[in-house]
Amino acid sequence: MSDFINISLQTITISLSIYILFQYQLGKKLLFVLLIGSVLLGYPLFMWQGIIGVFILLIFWILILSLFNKKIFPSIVVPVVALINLVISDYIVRTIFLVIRKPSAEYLQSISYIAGINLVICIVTLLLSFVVSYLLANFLKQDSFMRSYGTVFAILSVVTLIIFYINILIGKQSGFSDENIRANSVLFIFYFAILIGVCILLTRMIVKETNMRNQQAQYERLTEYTENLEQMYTNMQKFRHDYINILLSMSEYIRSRDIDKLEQYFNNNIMPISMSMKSNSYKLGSLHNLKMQELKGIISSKIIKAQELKIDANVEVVEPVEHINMEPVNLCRCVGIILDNAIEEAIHCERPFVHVALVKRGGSTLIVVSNSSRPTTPELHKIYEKGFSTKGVNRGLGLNNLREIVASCNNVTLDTQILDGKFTQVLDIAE
Amino acid sequence: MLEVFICEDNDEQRRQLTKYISDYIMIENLDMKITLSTAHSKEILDYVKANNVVGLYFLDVDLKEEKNGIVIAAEIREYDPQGSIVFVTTHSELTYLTFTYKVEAMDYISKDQYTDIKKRVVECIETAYNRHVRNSYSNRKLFQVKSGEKMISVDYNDILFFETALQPHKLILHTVNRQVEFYYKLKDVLSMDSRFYRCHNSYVVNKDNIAEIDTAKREIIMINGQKCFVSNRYIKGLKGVAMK
Repeated sequence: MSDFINISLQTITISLSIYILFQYQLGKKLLFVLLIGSVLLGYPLFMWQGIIGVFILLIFWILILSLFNKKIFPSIVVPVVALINLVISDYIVRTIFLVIRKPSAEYLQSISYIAGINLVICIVTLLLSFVVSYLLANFLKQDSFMRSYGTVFAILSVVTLIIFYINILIGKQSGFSDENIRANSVLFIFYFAILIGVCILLTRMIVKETNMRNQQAQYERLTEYTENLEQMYTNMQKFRHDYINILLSMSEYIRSRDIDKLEQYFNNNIMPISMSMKSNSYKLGSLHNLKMQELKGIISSKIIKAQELKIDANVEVVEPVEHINMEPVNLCRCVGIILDNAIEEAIHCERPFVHVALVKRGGSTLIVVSNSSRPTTPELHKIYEKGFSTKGVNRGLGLNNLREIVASCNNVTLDTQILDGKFTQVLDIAE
Repeated sequence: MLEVFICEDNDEQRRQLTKYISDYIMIENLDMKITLSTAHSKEILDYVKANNVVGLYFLDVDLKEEKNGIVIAAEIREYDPQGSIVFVTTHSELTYLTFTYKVEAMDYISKDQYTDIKKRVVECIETAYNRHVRNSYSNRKLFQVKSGEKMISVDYNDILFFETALQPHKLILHTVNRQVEFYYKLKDVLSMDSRFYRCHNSYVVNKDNIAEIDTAKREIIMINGQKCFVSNRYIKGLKGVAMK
């Protein structure tokens, strides 16, 4: 009976610490399944396999979590870390107890000691989980980190756990002497500390690397923008140079009252100039009202790309936009996805266009992207399906990702509409 | 009666614009009149504030006043939410989306050499007039909610279903050609029309637009093929609607 209570207590603790480590984002239902499942499975497994039974329980946790969560990596790492937490807490508590009390051998076997120390261990485990959850949250947030180092991290944590248990098994064979427990706990804590240290170092490095890559990309986009401005300035200079001559020849026609020649001259020489004033490079002009460098970079680079593809592309920023209440990286990703999709669709149209506008309205900023779309464009609900793309399989993560990013911000809403051959997306970001 | 307002500070252009409009109203014998044709926006604003009008406004964007046409349009909007605003401007193509999304302008007419201004004026009058007639004589019902600064209005017949987003109180409205997110409670949406039915904890469906119900998969298939979930608890209430 006391075994049952102890094991149930431990499995409940691990379920709770899984819940804590997931930042409380698991549903109540899932937590319930975890708790009941662990209690029902835990005791029979322990009776049947001893402490090795915990690995079967671990597989149960991983399966349940990945089934509900659909994300493999966190589903493996979190239960393993929770279990490591329990082992570490176990050793810390026991060592401290041994050092402080120096109890007799009989006392160590008594039910009151086992129950008492178990309770303390569980409380310490939960406390440790709180601390580790902060660390882990930082990890799980890093998308790029997950992609490149997720597997390494998962393997590392599983190996750590296995080493811990091999050590425990060896210790069990020698009957858990005081020295053994003490040595093990020193070893475990040391190992754990190093592991955490390495992980922190790794994250720092990766964050730095991503930041640098982002800055590099931003710099390149701004360079492009500057070149565009220079081009515009050169054109202006050329025009200034020309227009004195133009005026001179016009005055000549006026002096001779030759209205026909004047008209001809006007149509042939002056109209084309005013047309060229409407040309591409001037369409980026209003971007100077956008004071956010990173956003300016991405919009200008995409618009320039669109113009190179012979798409009628322009930007409207009528009022100065100094601040948008959204995390810059997410904002740029959203705008990037929207613009990429707009360009990809517009290319296929007879009269392709992509229009972008930043509009302040009341307390919000609207980012509007409107592009021409083909009559054959698939229905809206299909576009948002995961994995959908007009270009075949495995490319359609864009709009689905967009929806996910927007869903994670509580002041941002998205409005998508297809009307009369025009596909319009409005990102509404409230202050 | 649809009232027309013109605000243009160039006398010659204003005279021309007024002539186009009054000629067209006369020829077509429309239920419209030019209420004000002025160079000063204040006159129009005063009139709109004092009277309950549904108007068609032709506004010059670059007025020789402190306020530009867009700001004036925003002020007019406060008093006449249904009116139609048309901007008359020299740099049209660089501000079209801004017109639309800032003050819900109906159209713009660009004052350059290439545009047949008369033709565009007539087009604008026609659109505004048809819209006005449709709104005042038909009983077409619009689903309208205000979320933050945004006013969403969709024909009830177009609504497929509402879905809760991950964020609390954020809903996604699905129609055939639009998906729009807004802040609202599912419970409040449910009570807005008798066609709406709560078919799942996080879905409210428009019963009129259901094509069929797949009881085995617990899915509702809408008229456009889009799927929406239905839970066991609520499936009974959909008896009588196409079952599979």
